[in-house]
Amino acid sequence: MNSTNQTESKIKELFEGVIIADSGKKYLLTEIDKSSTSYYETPVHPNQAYFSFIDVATQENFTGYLEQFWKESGNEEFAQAAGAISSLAYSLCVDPDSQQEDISPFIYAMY
Amino acid sequence: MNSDQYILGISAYYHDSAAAIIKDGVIIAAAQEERFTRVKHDPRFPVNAINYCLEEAFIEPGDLSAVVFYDHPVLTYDRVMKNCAYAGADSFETFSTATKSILGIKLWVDKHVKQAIGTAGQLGKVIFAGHHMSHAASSFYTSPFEEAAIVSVDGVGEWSTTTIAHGKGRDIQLLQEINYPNSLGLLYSAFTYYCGFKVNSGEYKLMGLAPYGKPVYVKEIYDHLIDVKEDGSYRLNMDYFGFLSTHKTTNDKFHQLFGGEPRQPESAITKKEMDLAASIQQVTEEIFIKIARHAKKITGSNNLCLSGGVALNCVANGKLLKENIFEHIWIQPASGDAGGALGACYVARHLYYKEPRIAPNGKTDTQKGSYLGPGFTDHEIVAFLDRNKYVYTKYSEEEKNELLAKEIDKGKILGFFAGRMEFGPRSLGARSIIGDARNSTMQSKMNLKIKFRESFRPFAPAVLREDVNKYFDLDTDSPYMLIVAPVKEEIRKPVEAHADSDDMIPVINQIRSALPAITHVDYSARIQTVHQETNPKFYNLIHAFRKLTGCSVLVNTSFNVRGEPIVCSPKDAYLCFMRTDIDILVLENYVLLKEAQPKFEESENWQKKYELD
Amino acid sequence: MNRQLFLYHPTIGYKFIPNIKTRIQHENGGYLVRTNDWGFRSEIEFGKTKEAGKKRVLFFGDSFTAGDGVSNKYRFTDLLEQLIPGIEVFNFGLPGSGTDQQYLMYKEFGKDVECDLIVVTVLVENIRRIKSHYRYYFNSAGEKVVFQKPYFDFKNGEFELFNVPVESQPLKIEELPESEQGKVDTGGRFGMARSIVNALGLKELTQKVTKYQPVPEYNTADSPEWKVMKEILHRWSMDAQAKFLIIPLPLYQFTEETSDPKNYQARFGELKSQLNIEVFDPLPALKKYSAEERRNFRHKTDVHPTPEGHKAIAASIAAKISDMIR
Repeated sequence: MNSTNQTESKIKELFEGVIIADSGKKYLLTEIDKSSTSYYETPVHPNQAYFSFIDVATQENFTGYLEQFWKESGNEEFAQAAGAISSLAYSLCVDPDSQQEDISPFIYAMY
Repeated sequence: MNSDQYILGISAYYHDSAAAIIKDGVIIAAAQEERFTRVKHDPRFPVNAINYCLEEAFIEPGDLSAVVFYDHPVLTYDRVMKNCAYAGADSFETFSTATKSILGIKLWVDKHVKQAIGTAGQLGKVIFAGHHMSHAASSFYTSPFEEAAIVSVDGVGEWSTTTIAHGKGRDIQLLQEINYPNSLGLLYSAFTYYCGFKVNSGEYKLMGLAPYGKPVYVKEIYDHLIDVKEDGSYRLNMDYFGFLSTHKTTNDKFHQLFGGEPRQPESAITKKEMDLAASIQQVTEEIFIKIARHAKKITGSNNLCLSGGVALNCVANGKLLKENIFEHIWIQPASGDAGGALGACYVARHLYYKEPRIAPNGKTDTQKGSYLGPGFTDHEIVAFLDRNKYVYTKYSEEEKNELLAKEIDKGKILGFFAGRMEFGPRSLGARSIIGDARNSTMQSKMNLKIKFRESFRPFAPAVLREDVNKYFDLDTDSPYMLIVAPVKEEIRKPVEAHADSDDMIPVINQIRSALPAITHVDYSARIQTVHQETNPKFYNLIHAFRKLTGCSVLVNTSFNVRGEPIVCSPKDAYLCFMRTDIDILVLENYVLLKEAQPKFEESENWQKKYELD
Repeated sequence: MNRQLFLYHPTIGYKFIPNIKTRIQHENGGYLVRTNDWGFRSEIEFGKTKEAGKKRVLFFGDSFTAGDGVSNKYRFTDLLEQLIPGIEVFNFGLPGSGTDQQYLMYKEFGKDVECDLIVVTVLVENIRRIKSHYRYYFNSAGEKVVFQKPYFDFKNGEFELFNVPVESQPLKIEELPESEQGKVDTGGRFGMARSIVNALGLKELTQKVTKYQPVPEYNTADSPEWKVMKEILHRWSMDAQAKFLIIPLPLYQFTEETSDPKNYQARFGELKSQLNIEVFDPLPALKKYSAEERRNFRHKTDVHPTPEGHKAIAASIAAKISDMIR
């Protein structure tokens, strides 16, 4: 298996082993509640919302960083996958010159 | 205070990469990467913009105190994971794409910075500022206010889509937020997509289209797509949206609600799209105003700072201003992601280093007119012109403006290149195409022969600040073209054709005022007030035109063609001049006439180079 | 976007645009360039009259002297101001130029400047440029273009200047007269073979094994290239209004001892013995550094000196400069 296939396989493994396994959980607030008076929340991630550092100095450091991040936010199920995600990040890391010019589908900026 | 503290801010990898640099809290430079690479909305690591920032500051990378990124990739990945867990097995493609993008590229900012400039500054590691905190900082710390409510609304940044904060002195406190997938920005983008425009860049077209339509779909939107509370908070009904598990913003249910498939890009625009545009614009404005009222209520402030992509909706800004909720409003001109680079600098300075803020004077902002990009000296311009044997004449400032005023009066169109390039999406008289606002054929000529874009799109007026209320129902500063206001009743003209059919042309061609080129179909105009203090060169040109004609308004549109980033260098300007029907190119005090130029040939088809926006 | 750095000059071909402030992207991240009112890379303005009590030294040369690859303050000329108290250095370096253009630069801009010493730092590779009538350059868009350059040559026993005024527009090689086609300096020997060897990462090894001689023009005293070089330097020394010094700057092959420098050293030695021109060879001093240090005198792929390289050059020539101005 070449490295591209290995990476694809790792992503699939993560998706099936962690993401789909947790698919019953209500991670997103989507219920329309006609009886409530407000949908505002107090800041959900105060530790990152202002400024912070991300430790990617070594794969081990990043694993530790992710574990702590998800434990603090009460997501033990993701914390357990920190090692696999850190390993995936290190295998996916590419030089900026090789970036494609596509725009992430996850951010829609207006105007 | 730590003197000579340089901080470099970076926004990248999503949409419209940029870099900014501040010295001891004063903005030195800021620019979008697209201007250098000539790739519209270039999302790549902004190595050219960073290089420019270091050039303008004239420092070595080792002189930087810190490098700050405007977003937190792990928090974004957390959202992706939870989004896909929610969406289930159908979201694998989305998960795979996002994983490669975030874990493969976005996570490694620190490495990319060190590769590009050899260091992450004296701090040794990159600071990650929160996305919405970067937006909030970009508007508050550059505002004239010591204290203000801060509202930031965009598509999504990490988790947040809407935030309300309170700024005081050097501090900002986040108070309330709305999180993904509930997003006013994504709602607007869904309509952008459905009406056949590109998400992320076509939103301003939708806004321009809105006045041609009637808001007949407002009830459908409120009944089915979004639940809005009195305080402006809202939730989307995800049954109608596709973005949780696909790359599309809408789904079949959305399409059924509005009677069919999305409009194909570049196909004819019908009354349906006009009405949809009018409807979503009205909903956006109503929610925006409610959010502002709530921000006022929870902060008690008389001042408002706005940022985030939705703050570029100048029609909504104009309505908000008219509501008089706040005594003063300041909008960051680079409100999109590019401006996050500037905000990130200030997050580091005031929140990480806890340096005090330079006391604002309550009247003027510190954005320097947003003329924060590269400028070119006379020596550089002459070297470029002489090397290429282009034909030019040098004039004194006064002679030049007299000549140009006469040419504009004759109906000529200028490419106007003066001073430092603008930071943000708008041309503000430094890299602008200029024409006579009184000329009844100017709008169609500029759209079709200069910009090569859709004929319905309106142009903006640039008006001397002291004369703004002679022509418009506005008597406040609008130096960044972020406020829409009505053309004065006195200069309006009655119209016969109304937008009640699919054919827009008769409506577009109606003469609505004494300034037809800048009067939109609803008698509105997106106004730029021009100030002697921030752009004397542009001010003096309009002043000369007023002296000649009595009119102190000119058409000002961005110096580019459709799909092209705004020009940056004299070379970019010359190319745009020769590729279009622009009659005269003005490079500082050097004037070039089209008919005097040597034969222009290009080896490549430039129209294929620029993808339609 | 890279800013345009040079403007057309009818005699020299081109020179720096005055009062530029820019940063050039480079493999080391980038470097800062500032030019002064006269259009030279310098942190100070030039003037004809010397300040009382100051010693002034004028430097002429190519990109090694102008400082390609490093910011102004890291160049050996700027470092000399720190090493020798009371001197000011005017750097007239012009990237891509030959000694012929540097001589013309002196005649246009340097001959009326009051000074104590004139130094010509001849990158030994410049000998190839002085026989060229055209040269490749990269324009601000990164495209390869060919421009005419001025040159000197012997014609009917007379030493004459050709190609002046220089054509301002880029030229196409295929449109040059046949006799001129081989007169384009492409920047080195064995172009195709070199690019293959470089691509294979075998450059250093290949050069050592083949006893690569990067500048064979110095092999004999009667080579046409050396005769022109010698005549230029002789005339320059005669024109000089102050003491005159030639410093042959070695290519890295000589510093790193993959090529034998004896031929070029012999030729420059003859300037002293035959024409009584002062010559100082920095190579012995540079070779005293360790092999690893010497490798770091140039960038990873760009052969121009690094800040460490400039520092070593400055250290190697400071005493000689100091002696000559006392």
